[in-house]
Amino acid sequence: MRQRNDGTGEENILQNQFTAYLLVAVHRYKAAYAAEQFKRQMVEVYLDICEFEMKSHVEFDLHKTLPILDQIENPNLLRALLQVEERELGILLARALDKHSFDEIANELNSSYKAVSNAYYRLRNRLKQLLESGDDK
Amino acid sequence: MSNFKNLLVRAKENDAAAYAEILNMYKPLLIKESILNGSFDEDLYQELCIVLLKCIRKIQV
Repeated sequence: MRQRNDGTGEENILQNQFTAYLLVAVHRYKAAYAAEQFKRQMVEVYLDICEFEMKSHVEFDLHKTLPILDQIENPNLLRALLQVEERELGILLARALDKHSFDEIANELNSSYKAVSNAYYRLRNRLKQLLESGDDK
Repeated sequence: MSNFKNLLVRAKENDAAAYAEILNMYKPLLIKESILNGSFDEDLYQELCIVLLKCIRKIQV
């Protein structure tokens, strides 16, 4: 049976010191944990609202007016596109989405047909590789 | 050497039984501190057990 700690004697003093030390550490950790959980909850609530709003027709239309990178839902594709240079991304989007010809894109960028088409096919292959490697993970 | 001091020294030397005994001794405190927003948080309890082990390692005897 344990004796009650009356704060006297080496054993009791050491145990009280350890308990005080532990309590400070526990309270610090608990405060950090609660703050982290609060932050996480805020994000979760925000995402829930987004999901709810996306279901409504008005918000779905709004979704289409977002910048192109914000419309991408595939995380692997987004990650791959973020690694691409802005000029190359412009060529890819103009060709793939706006259906511009290489001549038109070359005129816009003051570049040659060959340079634009090379950049487009190079980027397309690189994206394909990035997506395949992203799928493997 | 006193009993608690002995336990601490043994735990510092990675004695699993001493660790377990100290953990058992402080379990009620850790459980009480693991109550967050009125409910017991199992994850927090596990983390506080780790905090206890770190305290054992760090405290100077």
